Amino acid sequence: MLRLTLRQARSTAGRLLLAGVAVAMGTGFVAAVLLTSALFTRTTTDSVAAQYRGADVVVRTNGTPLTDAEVADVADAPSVAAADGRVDSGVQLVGASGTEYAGLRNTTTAPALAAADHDRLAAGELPSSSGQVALSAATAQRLGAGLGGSLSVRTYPVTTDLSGAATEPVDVPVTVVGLLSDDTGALFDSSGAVLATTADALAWSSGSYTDVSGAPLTGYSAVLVVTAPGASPQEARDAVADRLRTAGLQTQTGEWGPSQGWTGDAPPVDVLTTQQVVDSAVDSALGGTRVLTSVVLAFAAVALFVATTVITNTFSVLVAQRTHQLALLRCVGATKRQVQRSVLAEAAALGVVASSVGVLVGAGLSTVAAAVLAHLAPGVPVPTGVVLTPAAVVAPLVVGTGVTVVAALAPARAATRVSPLAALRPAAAPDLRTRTSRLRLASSLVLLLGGGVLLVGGVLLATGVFADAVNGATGTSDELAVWGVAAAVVGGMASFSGVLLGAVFLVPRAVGLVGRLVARGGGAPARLAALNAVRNPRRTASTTGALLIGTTLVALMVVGAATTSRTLAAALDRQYPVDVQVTSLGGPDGPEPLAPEVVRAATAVPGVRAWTPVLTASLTANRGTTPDPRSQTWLEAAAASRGQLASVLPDPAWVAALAPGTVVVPRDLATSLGVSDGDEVVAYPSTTQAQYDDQGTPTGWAGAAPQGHVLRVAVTDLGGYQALVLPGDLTAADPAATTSGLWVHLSADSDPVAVADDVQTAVTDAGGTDASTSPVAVSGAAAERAGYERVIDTMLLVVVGLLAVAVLIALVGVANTLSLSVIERTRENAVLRALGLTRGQLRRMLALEGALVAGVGGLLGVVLGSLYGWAGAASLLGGVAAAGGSAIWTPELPWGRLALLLGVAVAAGLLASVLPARRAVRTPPVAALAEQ
Amino acid sequence: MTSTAPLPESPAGPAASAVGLTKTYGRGPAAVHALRGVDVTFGRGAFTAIMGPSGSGKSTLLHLLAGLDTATSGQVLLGETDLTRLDDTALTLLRRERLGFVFQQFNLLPVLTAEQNIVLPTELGGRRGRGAGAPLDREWLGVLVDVLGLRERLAHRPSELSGGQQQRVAIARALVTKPELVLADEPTGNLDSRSGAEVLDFLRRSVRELGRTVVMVTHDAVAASYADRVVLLADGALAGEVTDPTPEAVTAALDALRTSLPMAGSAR
Repeated sequence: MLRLTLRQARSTAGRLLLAGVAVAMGTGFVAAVLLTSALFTRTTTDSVAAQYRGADVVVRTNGTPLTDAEVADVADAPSVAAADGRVDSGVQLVGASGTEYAGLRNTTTAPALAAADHDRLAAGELPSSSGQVALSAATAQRLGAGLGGSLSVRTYPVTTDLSGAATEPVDVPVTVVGLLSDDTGALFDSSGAVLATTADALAWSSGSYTDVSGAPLTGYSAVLVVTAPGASPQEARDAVADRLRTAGLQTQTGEWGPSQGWTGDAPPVDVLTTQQVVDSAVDSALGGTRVLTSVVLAFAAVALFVATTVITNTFSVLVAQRTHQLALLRCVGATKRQVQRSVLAEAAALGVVASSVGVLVGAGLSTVAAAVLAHLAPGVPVPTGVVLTPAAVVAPLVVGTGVTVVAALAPARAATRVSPLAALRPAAAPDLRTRTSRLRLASSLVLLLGGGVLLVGGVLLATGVFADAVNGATGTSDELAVWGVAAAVVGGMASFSGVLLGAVFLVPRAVGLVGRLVARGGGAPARLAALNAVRNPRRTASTTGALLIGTTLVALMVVGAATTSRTLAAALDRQYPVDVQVTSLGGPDGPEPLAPEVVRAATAVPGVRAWTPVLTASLTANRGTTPDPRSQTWLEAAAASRGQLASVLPDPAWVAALAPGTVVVPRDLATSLGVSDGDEVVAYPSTTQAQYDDQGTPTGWAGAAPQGHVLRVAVTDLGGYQALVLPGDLTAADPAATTSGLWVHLSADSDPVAVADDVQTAVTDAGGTDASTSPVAVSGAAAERAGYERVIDTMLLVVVGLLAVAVLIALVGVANTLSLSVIERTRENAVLRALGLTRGQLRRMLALEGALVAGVGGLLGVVLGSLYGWAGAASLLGGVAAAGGSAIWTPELPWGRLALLLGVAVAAGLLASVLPARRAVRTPPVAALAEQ
Repeated sequence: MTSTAPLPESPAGPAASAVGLTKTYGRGPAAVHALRGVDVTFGRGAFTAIMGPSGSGKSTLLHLLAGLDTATSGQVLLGETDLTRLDDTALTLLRRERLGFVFQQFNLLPVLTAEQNIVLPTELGGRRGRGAGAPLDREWLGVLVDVLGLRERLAHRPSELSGGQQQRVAIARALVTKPELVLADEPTGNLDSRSGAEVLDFLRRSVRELGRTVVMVTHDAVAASYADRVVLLADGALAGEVTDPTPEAVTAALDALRTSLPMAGSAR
């Protein structure tokens, strides 16, 4: 029986090809995900392990640094061959062409540990005396210092003075005596690395740890231990822990990091083997990766689910075509169970072969991913080969085969229903009518309607439509919003399940309707194509339904992203009234003016229509006409002439009230300050200190009472939280106000996101590395939007890419269904050819059939996905949308992208018909008309 | 019943003929010679039957006459047109407009109703362009439907029709374009004797009363007796003729054929 099965499978291999392709794609996806995840694990493990190369046990402090005495203690412990303290800190390096923050490590005297440092030395030698450093080659290049060159190490000596006065940095000159290469990525988690002698490192890192009173402590972050020959790392670890406990320290040897609630005056010290350290670090680093892997596997699950429909279709048709053979087998003496098992065995064989191919493809993809990663992040050590873990290879095989067999269960059972008598009767025409159960219709309607109600209700709840009615009665509006989102999600899933369940009713009708419309102008071949597309409703529903899943999800993501983008833009417009704001952040002495070259660079960017420098100051204010330390509020103010402000704001009417002695206050700020139009406020510099009594209530002024400057409030529809005044008023309130801002208005026909990016680049380039120039920030509605849109677009691209696999498999399913239909209709097509249908007409007929099946799937998917995407965005952003005042009720439909999705579906349907049409056309009519 | 469709002014000459027609499958020692230089003509307005033992090449001859297969050598003429010179598209158009087919397996499209199946050849051409041909003659359709007794069944699908009714629909389809030649391949093979007799009667009436030309392949002597002339084929070559056949004459001729042939083991 098995031999017969396998021979049968081989003879019909061509028909199983497309089903095999579908399974291979699904398992390839799973394999690629698992293998890439294994790749990340290995990368992380290698890089973490490299940090502790040579050491067997690590002692790490969680509080006060370890002293030389403690290091000596450890070195003395039994089973220990050597121990050395490790400094793990960071310093600012100042070079000829820039400054950079780099990780600081010390050299070591223990030979076993020094070997790792020597391995990393690419040129020169390791530092051996004070004032010598070795740098990673990339850092040296960026700082403009080569081998033998000089740099400065900028240290900030810490004082115990709490007066808040800034300490002056001290630059220590050093010479570069060695260059490091970083193949193993031990240093990749810091921007660069510098090695210095232990004495230097200790001196420069002083202040990383402080004691309770704030006094700086000097010491090591960790002690690296080498075990004595013949002892295991565990023995050494326990011995070291004992020794440290005797010295009075608390230790823990089980896990990394202080556990909750420790007693005594210092947290316990970690004493772990390097294996434990690596495992624990990898664990925490990969925690996020595991979540990501699970999410991506969810997409793979969707793809596999779609593949099952392809397999079920294929085996249904195969069984139907082999009715004669199956009946013969039953006549001759095969039992029902044997027949069923033969179908399942064929499915299993297909599953094994296809899954193996899938694993190979997945391995290939994973290797490509590794190469891409190595290219993008040159510092990261990427394994050159494929990391084949048993799980990553076996799991996809098992899943793929399992899925194939499960999908073939229904057709296998149908095979057992073939009666032996069918062998003796002539082959009858296939029964076109299919039974559809009432139960199915009922449950699909229930799910659809119930889900729909939940979805609509959830959206309404989340967008606060019911807020007034329910507010205060049951929970806050935030809780309602959460319930709303949950209801919307459940409703969406339920209604979609209803659609899929009821696909067998919905899809054939939809295809029939569209087919009739399309066939109107096409004559008989077009009408035949439309009729043939729905002649087996179950098969059409399953094929189109598979495509429906993919296209709905893609459309959902696309519409959701567009709506999110639009809503966020509206909210940002309210929060940032100005398109682009360039602000100098100031230094420890307070705000600093924008450097002229920055202003020049920013305003030279094409797309900038108007700009104005603004004076800014941080003020303290209170209502009334005299400063009162008991009712102080923060007030950010900006100043420019009215004309200048009008030129950069979207609505000049907002500053119409700006006049000497008037402060224009945004509506939202006025509400939070508690002021209304016409009120008087008095403002003074925020550096004015108040005097506090023991309970912390203000009682007066620390120095002289500020005079304050009185302003009249004019509330406008301006957005944001910055008040506007004329320059004269601002300098009267705070003489230290400087021109530290530049407000830019973009021209209407420019792409705000692109121009904001250009301004950012221009400003960064103009900034330079002069330590005296304070850093500059670019913000504003357009700039923020640029940031958000980049994130949204990237995420959309990734998600659509993941969904593309499921869509592709569904399209393979369309090709499969078409090719199986062609095989079934061989005789009919021969009759048509005999009656006068040309080859071209036959090809067009099949192309139209494919385009109909795929196109309707795409169309339904676009419609459903748009609805769900809009509902999803509305419910998630309900709160934001309400605050932004934008109309969340009009969906944002990116017509271009949706049309592209539909076009891809139709084009793929046409493409899917090419090979089946070729086969249909190649069969000469006479061969098909001949008697069996 | 009188003919309502006057015969077109036809030139003198046979409706179709084969000249030195040869068809060989395969090569070398395994080659099958289905037809060996067959010369035969089929007159207009006549009902001809082609008979012979299985493997005699009768179906092959029919397929070549229809332009469904290509000859190895020789010519097939439909009226004045040499089929062997035409390309596939031209042959297809020829089949659409000038030939009609009735097969043993009824070969109706299950997705179309009886009426749609009947008019299918006229709709394959579309409205304009190459092969549009003559539009459907509704009066002629009415005549066919009434003659074949299909008036009540026009809106039914093939699965709702009996074997005999399906074959009658096929005949109507074959006649709807008023073809120069109607080819029938074992039209009664799958029917019970009563339906078979009905079908043969219709074929004869289409010749006698509607002026058609019919060539029928059959292995049934009773079916052959409905024809005006029986052409006998054996082993790929003409082996005789019977005019105004009766079932007994045909059976006798077939027996004569069988005894004159060499015994089993003859090269094919």
